[in-house]
Parts: sequence; structure tokens; C-alpha cells
Amino acid sequence: MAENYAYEVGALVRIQTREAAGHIRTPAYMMGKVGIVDRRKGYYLRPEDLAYGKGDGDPAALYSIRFKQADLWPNYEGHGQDTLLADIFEYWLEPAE
Amino acid sequence: MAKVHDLAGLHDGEVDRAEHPKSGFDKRANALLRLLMHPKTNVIYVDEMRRAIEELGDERYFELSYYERWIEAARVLLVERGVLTEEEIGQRMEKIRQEMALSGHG
Repeated sequence: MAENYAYEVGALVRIQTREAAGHIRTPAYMMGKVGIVDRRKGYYLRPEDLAYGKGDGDPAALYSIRFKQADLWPNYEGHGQDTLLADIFEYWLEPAE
Repeated sequence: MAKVHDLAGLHDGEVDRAEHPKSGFDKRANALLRLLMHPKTNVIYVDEMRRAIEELGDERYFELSYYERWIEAARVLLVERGVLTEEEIGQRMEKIRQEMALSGHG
């Protein structure tokens, strides 16, 4: 299967903000936040499809996105270098440059 | 608005980090779930289970324990998939309830 990633490692991306109309795997706390692509993790069937038994949808690219903890949490009291890694699908991302 | 299970970042008191052993119910529930979601049987996708748990409703979600939520989701999905009917489940539950009452566990 041809891989055609939209984002390079190191790209700045923003997590889209959406209502969770069905099943999603993107937690609310990171919607609208900007992170950096840490790794490309391959192609997988979409949780939104599998949640309704649909096992024949188009696979989508999965990325590991790195956020600064200070960007995610108001009044973050931990170390300024602390980061969080989360696996997010390509169709939940938009460019943030 | 985030769904009931999407709790990260909300203020909800301290996280209880105490370990606790799995009960007999927990172990049997876990075994059943693994069977249903195994690639070889593939009766239910884990994503379907998560969706069903998220749709239990706020009250029910917090009333049930972790494995109780998964078993409730399995019940919903087995009916959705036509593996069992609500009638079959209801009748079996009633039979168990009667047996438990007779043996003094009522």
C-alpha cells in the first residue's frame, strides 16, 4: 500500500477542534493545541470506522506528536522542558506554521 | 463538549494510585473480552467496545466499575451483532437471579 504522508518529521501541526459526534481517539485537552511531528507511525484503519464495525475503510496515516506540557496545561508547574507524546491520525491535523 | 470518559485535564481530585487485585468477576470479564476481541474470533472490535462504553450515559458510566462497563458494552454489541437477543439475555439473567435467591445469595 502506498504511503503518502502529508507531514514531515519536525513539522508544526495543530490538532483540529471538533465536536465528538461519534467515537474519537483525540482527547479534548489537546484540541486547538500546536505540537511537532515526532515520528510517522504507519497506516491504520480509522477508529471512527471501526467503532461502528466498519473494517473496510481507507487506512490513514498515524503520527506521534510532541507537545510542550506548558502549552497544554494552564499554570503548568513542572519543568519547562517537559513534553507529552500522543498518537494522532493525519485527518485530525492541520499545518500550524 | 467532551464525552464523559474524556477526563484528562479536568479537576477531579487526587488520582488513587493504590494497586488492587482483580476480583473473580474481573478475571472472568477480562477473559470473555479477550475472546470476543481476539483477531481469530473477531466478534467485536475494541473500538466498538470503547464506543459502546462512551455511550453508556454519564450516570451509568460512573455507577459501574471498570469491568462492569466493558461487560455492559459487550452485552450491547452482542445484541447489535445478532449474536444474542435481549430476550435470551434477560431470561438467563432471571434464571441466575432465581438460583442465587434459592442458594441464599439473593
